[in-house]
Amino acid sequence: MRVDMVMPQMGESITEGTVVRWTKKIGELVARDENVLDISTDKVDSEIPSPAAGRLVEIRAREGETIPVGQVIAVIETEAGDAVAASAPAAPSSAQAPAPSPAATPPPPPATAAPAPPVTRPSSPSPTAEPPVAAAPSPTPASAPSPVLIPSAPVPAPIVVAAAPAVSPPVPPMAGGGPIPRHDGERFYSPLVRSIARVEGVSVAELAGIRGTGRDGRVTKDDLASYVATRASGGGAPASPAAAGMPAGPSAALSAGAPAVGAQTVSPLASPTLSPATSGAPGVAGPVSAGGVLPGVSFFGPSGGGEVKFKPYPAYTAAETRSTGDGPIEVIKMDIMRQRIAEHMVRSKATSPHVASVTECDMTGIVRYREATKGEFQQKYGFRLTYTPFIVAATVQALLDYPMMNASVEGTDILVKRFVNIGVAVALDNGLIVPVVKHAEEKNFLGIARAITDLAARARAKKLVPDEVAGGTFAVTNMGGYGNLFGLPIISQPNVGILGAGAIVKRPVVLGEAIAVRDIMYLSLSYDHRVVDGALGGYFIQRVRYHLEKGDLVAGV
Amino acid sequence: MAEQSGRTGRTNHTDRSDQAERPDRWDLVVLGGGPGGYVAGIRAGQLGLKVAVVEAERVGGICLNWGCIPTKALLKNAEIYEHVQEAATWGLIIDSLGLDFPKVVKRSRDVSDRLTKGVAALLKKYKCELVNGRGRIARDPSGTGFLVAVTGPDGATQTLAAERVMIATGARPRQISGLPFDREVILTSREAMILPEVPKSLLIVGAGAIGVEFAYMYRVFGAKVTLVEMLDHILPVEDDEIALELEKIFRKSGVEVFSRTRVERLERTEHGVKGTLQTPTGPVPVEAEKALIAIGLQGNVENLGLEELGIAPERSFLTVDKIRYETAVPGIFAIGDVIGPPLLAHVASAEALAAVERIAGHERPPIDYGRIPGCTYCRPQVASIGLTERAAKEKGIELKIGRFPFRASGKGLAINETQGFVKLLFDAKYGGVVGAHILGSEATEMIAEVGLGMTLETTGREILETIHAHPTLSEAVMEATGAAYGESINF
Repeated sequence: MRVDMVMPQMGESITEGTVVRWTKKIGELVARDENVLDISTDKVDSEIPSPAAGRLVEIRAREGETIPVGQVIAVIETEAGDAVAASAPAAPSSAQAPAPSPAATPPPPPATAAPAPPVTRPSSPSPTAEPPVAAAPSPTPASAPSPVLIPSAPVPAPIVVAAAPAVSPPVPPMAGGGPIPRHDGERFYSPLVRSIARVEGVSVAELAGIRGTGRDGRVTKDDLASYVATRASGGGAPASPAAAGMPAGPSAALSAGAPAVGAQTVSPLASPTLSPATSGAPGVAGPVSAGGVLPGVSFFGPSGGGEVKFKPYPAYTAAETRSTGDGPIEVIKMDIMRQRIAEHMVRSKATSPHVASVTECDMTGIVRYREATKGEFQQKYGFRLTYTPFIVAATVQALLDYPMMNASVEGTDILVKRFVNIGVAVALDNGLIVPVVKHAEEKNFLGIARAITDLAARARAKKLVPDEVAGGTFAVTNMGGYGNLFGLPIISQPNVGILGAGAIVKRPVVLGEAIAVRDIMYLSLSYDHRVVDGALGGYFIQRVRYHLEKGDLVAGV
Repeated sequence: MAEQSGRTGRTNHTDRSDQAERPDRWDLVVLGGGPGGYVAGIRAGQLGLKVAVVEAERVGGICLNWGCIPTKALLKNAEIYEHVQEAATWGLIIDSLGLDFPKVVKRSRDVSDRLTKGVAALLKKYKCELVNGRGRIARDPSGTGFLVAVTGPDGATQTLAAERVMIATGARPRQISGLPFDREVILTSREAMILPEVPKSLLIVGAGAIGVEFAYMYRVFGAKVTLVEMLDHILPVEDDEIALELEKIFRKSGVEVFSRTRVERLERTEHGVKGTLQTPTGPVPVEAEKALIAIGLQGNVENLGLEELGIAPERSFLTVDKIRYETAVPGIFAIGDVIGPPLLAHVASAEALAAVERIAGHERPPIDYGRIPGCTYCRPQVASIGLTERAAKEKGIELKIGRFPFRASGKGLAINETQGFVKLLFDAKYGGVVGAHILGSEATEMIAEVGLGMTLETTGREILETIHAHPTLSEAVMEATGAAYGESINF
C-alpha cells in the first residue's frame, strides 16, 4: 500500500514549509514515526516522521524547495501484502488526499514488493482541501503513541494518509529507537531506553531530567523504569512532560544572543579556530560566517578569574571556495534559520532605537540557595535547577511592577499587555530560537522553571510548534554560560525591551564599611527609546535586581 | 618485619598524612591470589596504592591452577579425541587410535604453569608485592587499621600493617555429610583432573558445570559415567529447554543421567564406591571405581581471624554490600567466591575491579548481577546470560522468544556442529534482551555479543541491524532475534 506524506500544517497562520533536508533516501526502509525529513517554516524547524512503516519510494520535493501545506512531498510503500486494503473505504478526513496514480508517479518504485494496485485519483492535489479538520479523528494509524513528535493540541495532525489506513509496522511493541534521539546533545540514550520512552510516552524533555546512574550519567533502563513507576504512582516525579535537563553550568542552557531570532553569539564567531582549515589564517575565520550577523553586542573580556576554556563551535560546510590573491575564501549558504535571524536583527535595529542600561546584582543569596537545594530539587522535581528561572521570575515581577515595559508599538499607539508572555533565548547548534513561557504572571517559580526546561529541551530537539515561539511580550537572554560579564542584546520585535544576564562571578564588594566576597552578576537591559526613556529603563532594571536580591522568588517551592 | 621495610621503597601510593607517619603501612593487603585477589592487586598497583597479595600456594587460585584453565585444556583433548573417533565421517582413515592419558594431564598442567607464571610477572610489573603464606587479620592495637600475620610455608611469620584488608580467599568443594573426601576414590574436581588413568567407571554427584564437564570428558575418554542431579535437570541454573536438550544428548552419547535423584548410603568399597540412587521411579543401585563429588562449594573463611574481628560468616560465606564490597567491619573488604554465589572467576575479577576502584576514589556503576554470563564447556557447549524463561515468567515479564537451531546454520552444517540451538528472550513490551541461552559449538564465545548488547541496553532491532558475517555460528544469534520478531530469514 502506498501512503502519502504531505507537507504538514504546523500552525494556524502557516501556509508553506521548506524542505531543509531529507534524512532518508529513496529505497530506504523507514519505521513508523522515524524521521524522514526536516522542514523549516517561518516559525520553527521541525522533523517530519513517517506516517507508516515501509519503504520510501518517492520524493517529490527537493531540498530547499518551499511547498504549500497539504501537498504530497513523499510516498511510503508499506508491505505488499496489504495492498488489497487500498480499496477499502478511505479514512474520512483523507478522502481528498491524492493517492498517486501510476501516471502521476514518474519513477516506479524500486521493485521488490509488488506495486500497489492503482487507486482512482479523485482530483488533482488541492492544497486547500488537504488539511484534515481538527475535529476529525486523526488519520494517522494510531496505536503506538507518538507523544513528542506532534504535539496534539492546536496543531492538526500533520500527516495525511491516502486512501486507506496504513498497516501497522511489523512488530510495533518491540520496535527499538523511535522518535527519541540517540543523543540529546548531552547524553546518549540506549535503544532500550528509547524504546521504553516511546512505549511509555516519556518525552525527550522528561528523559533529559532523569538522573542517570550509568557510566557518565547515562540513563539506564532501570532509571527509566523507576521514573515511569514513580510517575504512574503519582509520586514526586513530574507527571507532565516538563522536566528538562540543563547543562551543568549555571546558565549555559539558555544563552546569549538576543531576541526572537537572535543576535548571535559573537564570541564563537570571533574564535580564530572556527575550523582547522582557517586556523592558519587569523582574521579570516570570523568573517567566514557569511551572514555577518554581528549585532550590537559587545563583550568586555573574560570573567573575573578562572580558566578560559576553548569551546568548539559547530563546523560549517562551505558550498564553494573562491581563490583570491590573499588566499582562499569559503562561501557558506545561509540556511533558513540564519536568513531569518539576519532579517529579524536588521529589522529590529531599523525599527527600535536601542538604548541600554547596565547594573550589577548581588546573587549570593540565590547562589547559596541553589547550591544547597539543587540535589534535592532534582530529586523532587526531576530536572535540574539553574539560574535562568530566577532571572525570569524576577523579570516577570518587575514587568508587573512596570507594565510599560511589557508593551509594543502600533503606529502611534502603545499597546500595554496585561499578561506576561516571556521569551527565553535558547542557543541551538546552528542559531538560536526564543520559545515563549505563556502567562508567566500566573506561574509560580516552579512552574516557570519547569516551562523553561521543557521549552529549552524541545527547542534543542526541534520539537517546538510555532505557537510556542510566538506571542512573546518581553524577552530574557542569559549569556552567562559563556563566562562573559554582559552584553547588549537586540530587542525581539515587537517587544520594547530585552534583559540580558551575564556570568555570576565572585567579586570583592563593599558592604557597609567592609569588603566582602559576593557572587555578582551584571544585568543589561536594551530598550526601545521610542517608548521607554532612561528613567523607566533604569527603574525597571533596578526592580529586576531588587527581586533577585530580595530572595523571595522561590516561595512555595 | 625487617624484610618488610625493605619493600617500601615506593612512594607513589596515596598521599595520606597518617601514612606519612606509618611509612611501612600498606594501603591494601589482599588475602588470596586467585582471579579475585590477583586482579585486585594489579588494579590497586595501577592506581598507585601500596598493595600486597598474600597467597599460600601459586597465584592464579583455583581458576588457573585447579579449575577453569586446566579443565579447559583437558576438555579440548576430549573434544579432539571425539572428533578423531568420528574420523570416518570426515573421510579420514586413522588406523590405530590410542590415548596417552598421563600426557593429556601433563599438557593441562603445563598450560596452568605457564599462566600462573604470567600472573606472577604481572603482579611484579604493576608493583604489587606477592607474599607467600597464609594471612590472619587482627586489629592494629595502635589504633586504626589492621595487622595481617602471614605464616609462610616454612612456618616463619611476618606481620603486614594494613590500612585495609581484602579477603579473596575463595571457596572449596563441599563434601557429602558423612563421606569425607579421601582424594583417591571420593574425589573433588582437583583430584579428578590429575588422575593417573581413566577410571573404568565414574559416579558424578552433582550436575552443575563441573559435574557436567567431567561427565563429558570421562565419557569421551572411555569411562562409564553416571551423572546424578538432585534438582529437575542437569545444569539446574540453566534454562529448562536448553538443559533438557543437553540431557538428551548426554544420554544418547552414553552418559547415564539421573535427575531428581538423591544419592543414598554412598560408601567406599574395596574397589571403589557403591550406593543407592533414589530416582523418581524407585531406587537403583550404583557402583563405580571413583566418585566425583561436585555438589557445591563453601567459602574459605577459617583461620582468618574473623571471629575476633566480629565478622560472622553466613553459611560459610561472608556478607558485604555489593557496591563497596565492605564487610560489617569498616576497612575489611571481601570479594569473589568467599562472598557467595555466583561462584565464577569472572565475577570475582569484576568485583575486584569494582572494589579497588572505589577504594582508590573512583566512582563506577555497580556490577549488574543480572548480566553475568555462565558457561559450561562440554560438547555441545552451554552459555547463557540474563534470565531463564522460567525466571522471567515468574517475574511476570511478557516474553517474545526466538529460537534458531544450528542444524539450520550453514556454518554449523559445514563444520558438522549441528547440535543445539540459540534461544533468546525479549521483553515483549519494549524489546529489551531479557535472557540468552545457547547450546552449541562455541556457545561460550557467542554469548559475549549478547552480553555487550545487554550492557548497552540494546533491543532486538539493533541485533537485527548488526550485520553478522556469513557463514558463522554467531549468525544464529541474529536469526533467533529475527524469529522473535517474526522476521527470521533462514528458519
